[in-house]
Amino acid sequence: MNVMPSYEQEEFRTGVRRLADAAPLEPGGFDAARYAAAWSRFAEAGVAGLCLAPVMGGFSGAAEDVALIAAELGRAPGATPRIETMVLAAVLLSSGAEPAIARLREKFAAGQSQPAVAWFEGGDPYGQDMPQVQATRTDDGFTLTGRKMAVIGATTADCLIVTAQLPARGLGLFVVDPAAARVDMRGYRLSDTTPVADIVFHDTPALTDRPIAEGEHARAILHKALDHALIAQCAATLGGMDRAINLSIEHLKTRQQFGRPLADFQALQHRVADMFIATNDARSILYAAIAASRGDAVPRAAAASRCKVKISTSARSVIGDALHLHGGIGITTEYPVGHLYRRAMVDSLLMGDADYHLARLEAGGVDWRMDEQPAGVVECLARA
Amino acid sequence: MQKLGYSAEDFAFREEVRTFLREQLPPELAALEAQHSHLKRRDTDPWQKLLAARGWAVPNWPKANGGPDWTAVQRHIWDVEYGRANAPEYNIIGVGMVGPVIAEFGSDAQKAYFLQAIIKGDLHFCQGFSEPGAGSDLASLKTRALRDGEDYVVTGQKIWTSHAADADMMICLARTNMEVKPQAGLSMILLPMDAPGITVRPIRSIDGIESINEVFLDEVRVPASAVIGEADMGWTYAKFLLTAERTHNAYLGMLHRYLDRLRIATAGLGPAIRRRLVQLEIDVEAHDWSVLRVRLGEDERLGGASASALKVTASELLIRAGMMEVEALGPSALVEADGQASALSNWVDRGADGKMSQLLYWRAATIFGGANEIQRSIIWNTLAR
Repeated sequence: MNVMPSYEQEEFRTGVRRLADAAPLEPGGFDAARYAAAWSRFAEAGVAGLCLAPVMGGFSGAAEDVALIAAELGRAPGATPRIETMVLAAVLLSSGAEPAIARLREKFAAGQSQPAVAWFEGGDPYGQDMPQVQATRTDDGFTLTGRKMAVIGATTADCLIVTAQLPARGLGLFVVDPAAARVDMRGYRLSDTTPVADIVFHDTPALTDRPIAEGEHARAILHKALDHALIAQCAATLGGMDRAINLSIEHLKTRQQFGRPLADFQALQHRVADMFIATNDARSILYAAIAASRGDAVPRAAAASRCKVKISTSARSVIGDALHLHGGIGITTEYPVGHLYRRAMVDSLLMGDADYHLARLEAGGVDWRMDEQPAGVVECLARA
Repeated sequence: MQKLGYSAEDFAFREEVRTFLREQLPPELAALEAQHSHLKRRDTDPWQKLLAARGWAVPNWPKANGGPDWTAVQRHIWDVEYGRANAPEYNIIGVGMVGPVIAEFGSDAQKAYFLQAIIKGDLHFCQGFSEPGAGSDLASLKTRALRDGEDYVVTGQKIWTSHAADADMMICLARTNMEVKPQAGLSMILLPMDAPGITVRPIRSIDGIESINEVFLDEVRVPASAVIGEADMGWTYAKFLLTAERTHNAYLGMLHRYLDRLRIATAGLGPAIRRRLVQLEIDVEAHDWSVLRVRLGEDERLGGASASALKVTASELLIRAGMMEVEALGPSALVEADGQASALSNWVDRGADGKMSQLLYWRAATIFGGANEIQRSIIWNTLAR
């Protein structure tokens, strides 16, 4: 019995990997334009459509398909866009019934759109369902006023998905045209060179005259989007771990010191073995999260948090060990392993670090006793 | 496409297993197992008969040999539920090693006799592999089995032999050919433990229990038919066992048993240990799925690497869980597990009895079953190939 991805998955993955491998490693990393070009390259190749369910005009939306491709993007940091943005956009856009939103989805699925998701205002990543950005009702719809932080890909986005507080309180999801007047952006980069922007909205008009989702429904959608994005982020990190191990083995076999290859030294062999062990268990916790992602919100959230705790912790150590095994070149931007490490550090902090998710698991309301949770069935993702 | 995880049928099966264990497992046996987990066969034999009657005595065996022919997921469920119910390990060498190797390589006569005897619990086995000079380096073992007419005469010394005093037979790895390279001249031979020339000396381990032994073999005479399969093929058979039973050292049941106990032991304690419990749960969950992935045959290309990873992880998790337990139990855990103190001292929590002893026993998990460094070398060799 072989647990392998299906033929279609394998085909698609191979295509994405080829694309990722073809992109040159830029020592300077991304600027906004280069990031936008990378987004287009992968979105047009089908990665955006993959994040969207078939009923929404995409061709999957299944967490394991997304994870499989996320791992490919994570193998090549500095050349690939952040898939968690695509996942967030796909889930949030799927909640809207308006024709304008349907058109956006269609463009997104075809890889012709670059939405940015303005959901974060600082602080607790899962506490963003009570935003400070205020929605005000006007004669012909809503305007938004307030600030968002670190919006990934915002300066080159053609649409902004924004969370805001509704006039009668409660969460509302809106779409804003970034070209509209009264949107101020200040672009900067994260430490792994991901381009982001802080955004100030001043009575900025929303695209549709109603929120694309509101109240409890909007809250549930946002949490679902965050959980799925977190799982995709973890899968990307895992791809980086796999790559780091492969790079390390290659390096140890090639690099000569003391008159023989480093691969001859048992201390280094065993360090690679420990990296494999950690990565193997990291892959397993991803499977668990994918299985739970089909289920109810509470076990799904708990599984996503467990996944983040395990993968962010082990990625720091595994990719950090890979960096160490490379010696001096490990810390240069001319060689991939340093990019992997930088990306893993940013991943480990974005959307809540391990301590944050441990606290979330401990807090009442999230049942962290995994033994009674019905683990769903997950189609398999084999190691690259 | 292969699916991973539990289906509705699997959840129904879990209920069936839970019901069986709840209704059939004698509470006093479960209590005994929870306390020290080195039960004697007189304690476990009646239980094994119950399992045999249900058709579940040999969970890892295929139907053709009298096993339940469970799927990977069913076996996984069984392991977890069995451990959580404090059901005792029984005749693990017979069920886990002798049975599978005889089913694969044994003569028809050996199959006819031994497989049923193992299922019914009529024969208990101990494992005679390690020697004073051959621990991790198994190929260097010195015990010799010399051909003498229709017999073999076995002389040597085995060590770390669990339950030797309780076993009917030993599955002994001995050198039958001195002319070839070390791995090539080994045979697997079944020795009756009451044969003249066998002396068992118990070793008291740091857990305070005499479960392991030295076994001295002084010209033990057995017929040639005691050799499993063919002579000189012992190394091949041992390697077969490693691949056939790749999840043998995953200790799923024991780990889940620890988690259950830790949830109770840490209730009402401070945030630090409760946070460590959450972390342990996460790591056990990951390990759970790693075991399932190996059992489903995922990653066969890296099969050796994944199975070796299971052993390293499981042994480290067991020790971590045991450490947390004695910390959670506090001063009570300090007391030696002989039942005296808990009867006399009112400050000793009865639940603590035997828990330090168990931790001290499981400390050996990084050593036995192929030391963790052996596993790490297997992983490297598989990856770097």
